[in-house]
Amino acid sequence: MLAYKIVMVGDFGVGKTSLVKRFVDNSFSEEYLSTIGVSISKKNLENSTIMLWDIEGHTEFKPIFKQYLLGAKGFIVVADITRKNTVESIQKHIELCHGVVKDAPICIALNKSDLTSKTSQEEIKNLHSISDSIVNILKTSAKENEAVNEIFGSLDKFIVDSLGR
Amino acid sequence: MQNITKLICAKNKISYIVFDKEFKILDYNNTIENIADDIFSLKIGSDIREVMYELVGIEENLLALLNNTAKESIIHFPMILKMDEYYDLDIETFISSKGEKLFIAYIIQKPKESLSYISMLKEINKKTLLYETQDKQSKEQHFDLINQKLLSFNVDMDGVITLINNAFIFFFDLSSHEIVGKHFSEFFKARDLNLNANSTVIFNAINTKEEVISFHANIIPITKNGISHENIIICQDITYLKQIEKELEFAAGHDSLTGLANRSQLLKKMDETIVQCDKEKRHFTICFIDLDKFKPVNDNYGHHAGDMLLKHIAKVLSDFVRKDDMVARIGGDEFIILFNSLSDNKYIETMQKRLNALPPKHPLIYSQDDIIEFAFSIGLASYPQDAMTSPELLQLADREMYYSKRSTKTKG
Repeated sequence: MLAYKIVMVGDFGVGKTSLVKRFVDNSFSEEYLSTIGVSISKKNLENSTIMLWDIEGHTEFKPIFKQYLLGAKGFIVVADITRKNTVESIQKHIELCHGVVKDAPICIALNKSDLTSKTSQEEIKNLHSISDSIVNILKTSAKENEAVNEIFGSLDKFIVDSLGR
Repeated sequence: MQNITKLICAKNKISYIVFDKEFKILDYNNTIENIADDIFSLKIGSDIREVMYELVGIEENLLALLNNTAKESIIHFPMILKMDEYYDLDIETFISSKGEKLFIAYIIQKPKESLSYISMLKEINKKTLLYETQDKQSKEQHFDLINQKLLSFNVDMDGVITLINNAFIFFFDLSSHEIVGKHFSEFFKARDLNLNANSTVIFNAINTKEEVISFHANIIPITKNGISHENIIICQDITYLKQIEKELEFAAGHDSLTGLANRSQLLKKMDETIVQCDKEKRHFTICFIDLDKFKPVNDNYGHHAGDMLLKHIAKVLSDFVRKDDMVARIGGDEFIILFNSLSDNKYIETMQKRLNALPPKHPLIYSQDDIIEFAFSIGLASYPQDAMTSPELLQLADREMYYSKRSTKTKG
């Protein structure tokens, strides 16, 4: 079976670990435990096996360690829809990903959609123009299990299809 | 792999695993069992990617390492979390005793000192997130408080609502989908429903307590390529201004001490009553009341007692008259009663008797020891038989009162 690597990228506290936990274990915790370093999870899907790299989020004092992105077949860039600065960081994260893996497919998860958001539809629409490699942009909620399988599923489908060609 | 290297690894608690270019496991030490992602696949000859998920995806980088085409001679992944422990993973190549170039992955557990550093980092991140979230919430609360009475909404050129703020939802206690898409006139009443850009308009709306709230609304156009396609309407609650306006209007027509109508209000009412009487071919009467010996009350008990007496008399007179009549205070100790529809001499006499009977029945109980008695003189004038205008009627009633007072003094 095809096994490949996906890396979760985004600012700290946007919910990367929560999305992985929801996708892999179908669980959620309100408690925030900041990820340090990287935690790798395996998820078996119908036609593939994904190694999900849940890496430490970008902070003001600590950039993302590029080496973690090595060999990824795709990226999920995550932002907290209630924190505008994390949405504004998406472009930088995509540039970082493509600096390591050129033209890798990317899905954008605008997480915490269960909370009130100040991000407008127009801002969300504008995200599509950042890169041609963006496969999908979805508002997700790890807490409410909204669009979590869809975001991983759409990236998986794209990768499986492109590797199968 | 040389025995000396194995000894060093054992001494320093370093796990290692050796694999070839086909990613088949050739050798490993026992401690690797603690960190294998799938312990059942950990055996000589199995694919290392089944045992260590970190290696999935980096096959090309590994082969570049093997072929000496990689920029670095080592692949390094720091701080990998496994079973609540942190490890560094270093992969490099070496030449086996058989002359074959192989991979060796070292997995080095992080010392305890670095764990306290990790805890510190986690704590910093947790606090930063909490701060960012709380800061955002407090800012939102701050603006929500400011904007609680500042409703704003967008309407398209037909007046259909396209966007609303939280204050709008809060005011009407409706959800967004119950408001957006409807015409603004379903929520606001105005004289003119045409929303002219850059103008202002007064809206009225009914809040959840069924109170009518007045808003001063500014209409600001949103233009795209120089063409207006929407308007933003910002509504400021001006109910308090309306209240002030009402209070000022009341103050202008009323006596501040007794709350009775003042002279101007009385004259206005008399003028209106004259018009009404002409229309309905009926009559009305005014009664001029002047307190007797009011000055001694002020002199003997003080001005406070004098004020209390005036307020007391205002109450006594107000209780005496009918709903359609009016009691006014037009001077220091001068009161007027306007008896609407009272002209028949018989009724006037009855009223006069009852009025004169009031003072002995209602003295002012100023204190336990001070009961202040009062008396007044009255003069009557009726429309239209006595005079045709309000000032003339007042003048006549005043003169009648004066005669009455003088005759009482003469008798006394």
